[in-house]
Amino acid sequence: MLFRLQNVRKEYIHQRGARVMALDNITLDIEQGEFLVVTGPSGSGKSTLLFTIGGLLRPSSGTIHFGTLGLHDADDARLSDFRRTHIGYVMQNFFLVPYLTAEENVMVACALSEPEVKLQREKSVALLDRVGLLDRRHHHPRELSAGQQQRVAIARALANDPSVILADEPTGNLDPSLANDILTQLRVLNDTDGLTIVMVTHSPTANTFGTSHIRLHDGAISLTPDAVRWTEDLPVREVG
Amino acid sequence: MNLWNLVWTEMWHRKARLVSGIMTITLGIAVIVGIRTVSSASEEAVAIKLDNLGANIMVLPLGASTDDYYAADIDAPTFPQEYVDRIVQSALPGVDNLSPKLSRRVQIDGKNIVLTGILPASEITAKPLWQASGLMGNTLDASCAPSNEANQSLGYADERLQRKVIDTLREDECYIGPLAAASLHVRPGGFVSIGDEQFKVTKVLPETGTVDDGRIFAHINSVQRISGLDGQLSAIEIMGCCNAISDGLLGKLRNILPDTRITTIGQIVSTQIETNRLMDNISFAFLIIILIVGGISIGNYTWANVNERKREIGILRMLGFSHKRIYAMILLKAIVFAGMGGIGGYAIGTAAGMMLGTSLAGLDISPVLILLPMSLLLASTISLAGAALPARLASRIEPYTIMQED
Ligand SMILES: Nc1ncnc2c1ncn2[C@@H]1O[C@H](COP(=O)(O)OP(=O)(O)O)[C@@H](O)[C@H]1O
Ligand SMILES: [Mg+2]
Repeated sequence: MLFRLQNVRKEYIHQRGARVMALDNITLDIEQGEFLVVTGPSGSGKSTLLFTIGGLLRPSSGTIHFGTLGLHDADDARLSDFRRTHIGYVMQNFFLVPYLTAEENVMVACALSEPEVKLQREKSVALLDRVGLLDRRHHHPRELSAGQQQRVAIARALANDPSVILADEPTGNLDPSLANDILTQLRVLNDTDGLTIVMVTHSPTANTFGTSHIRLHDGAISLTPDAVRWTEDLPVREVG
Repeated sequence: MNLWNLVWTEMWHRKARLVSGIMTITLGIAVIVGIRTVSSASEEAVAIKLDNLGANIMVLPLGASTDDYYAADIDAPTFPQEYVDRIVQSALPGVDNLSPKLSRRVQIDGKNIVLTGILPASEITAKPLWQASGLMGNTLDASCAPSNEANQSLGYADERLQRKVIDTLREDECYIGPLAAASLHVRPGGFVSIGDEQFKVTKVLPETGTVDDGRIFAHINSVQRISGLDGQLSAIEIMGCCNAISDGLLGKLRNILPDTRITTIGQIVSTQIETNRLMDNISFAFLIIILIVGGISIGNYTWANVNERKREIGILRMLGFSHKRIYAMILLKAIVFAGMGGIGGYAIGTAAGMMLGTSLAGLDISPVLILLPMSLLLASTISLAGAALPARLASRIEPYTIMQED
């Protein structure tokens, strides 16, 4: 397996001292090449799970391994390096840098592993071509539609040839037809490129794009992937 | 796309803030550079004066005004020429050289010119009495200063700044300062008539930037004759040994010449030196102020900028930027600010110093190049100090806190 989470807890302490258990004793394996769909009500800990897997957030307790790398106790330099080389993020709000063009947004991500500007540009152009935005590469995010912005974000996520794509409600801000377009792109990345994908979603139809499915409730898994590998004919089973 | 491009692009994206961000630091540095530019011109002016004077002790009649060293002997009352002999006869240690003078304002072609009578060096050494004293053959270098080297290092290489010793001058010849030559339209070989006499212009002196430029130098005997002041002097310039001066040479000279006024160059240029010291103090006080105010203003700007950029900092963190890289990015911007503020402040300060110094103080001011690297250094210090804490806080911004706000 690619990721192994064991008894992962994440507790946020709010300003007023209140504690929120965002992840409560999560144990989960994610296989190489898996397309894991994570659903659950708002506030159930889906994003927190994604950040923890992606090396942006250390759990309060428990362990997370990516291969042999322990993400739970790696230092910032290590984690940054891990994000750069292995993870591509696709977020609901696209998270493009507003003052950079589409091309530059992709180049910024390339820059961390490729110092040569010319090569950064070549790579960026190729990726934007792949998501069908070659003609928009000199546009700033505000000049692009939501669907186009999300495609730039996908191109950017691929900038460093990651092995994992973490998508947090990637279609949350998109019309259904555009949403389908984005999901199809992710599907292709999983199918043809063999990328491991973890996607958080609200969309009822988004489930159909994954190879497996877990549901979070109050920070805990209510359906483990081992128990149910999600397929069209196997309904989601609520546990506990 | 490297860190540099990123900083640069972001900066121009928020142009309006950019201006307000570097305003304080630019103006602060401009003020310091302005003050320093003027005061260094003023210091140089003092140095030129000191050097041009050649002599560092001046014997003047009692009624002479010493507001301006150069003009001190002009139109002053006079005293008898025997005073020179008295000094020589007393054989005071530390008197290295002396030069009697008589300066009068005269009308030539309707123009007011200062005519200064001098005794050429050849005649000074030829005077039997003076020769006997063993005084005149000595130069300052040989007899006075601690060592030749020390003297050379104090000397001004620019020969423009050195008052030339006039070796020989006949009684019907004169040397003329460049300004006087220009206003009278005379050249070397030409003639000027002063009173009833004709003088041949032997030489037009090189420009010194002092009142000497407007003078005509003639033999002292001729000047005494023309002005009807036979045997009278308006000043004796003495080259005194520095150590001897501090050992009370002035007091001894005053004993010998009780009815004269004896001053040193230090007393005369001290007003200007005072002013320079004041400017130094002001610019030092300002330095402290700009360090504090500039630092706070940059810190404030950076903090606002960081807050405004929280989202994109989160994005960069997500892409794999480490704490260190974010920190470096913010500091790099502070350094760019420092560069702009330093260069801009230097340019504005120099321009202002040149304009104000020329129009208000009448100084001949040129840009002081060394202030440029100093401005950059100062700006960098201010900027980095101000931005350090906000940059630290920026590097701690985590994407998950940002996502939460979206
Ligand atoms: N940065 C944070 N600080 C404090 N509490 C947080 C933070 N992020 C999330 N939480 C809390 O943790 C819980 C899980 O949040 P999240 O992972 O964003 O859920 P989801 O993505 O499923 O909506 C929520 O109760 C949320 O309020
Ligand atoms: Mg969420």
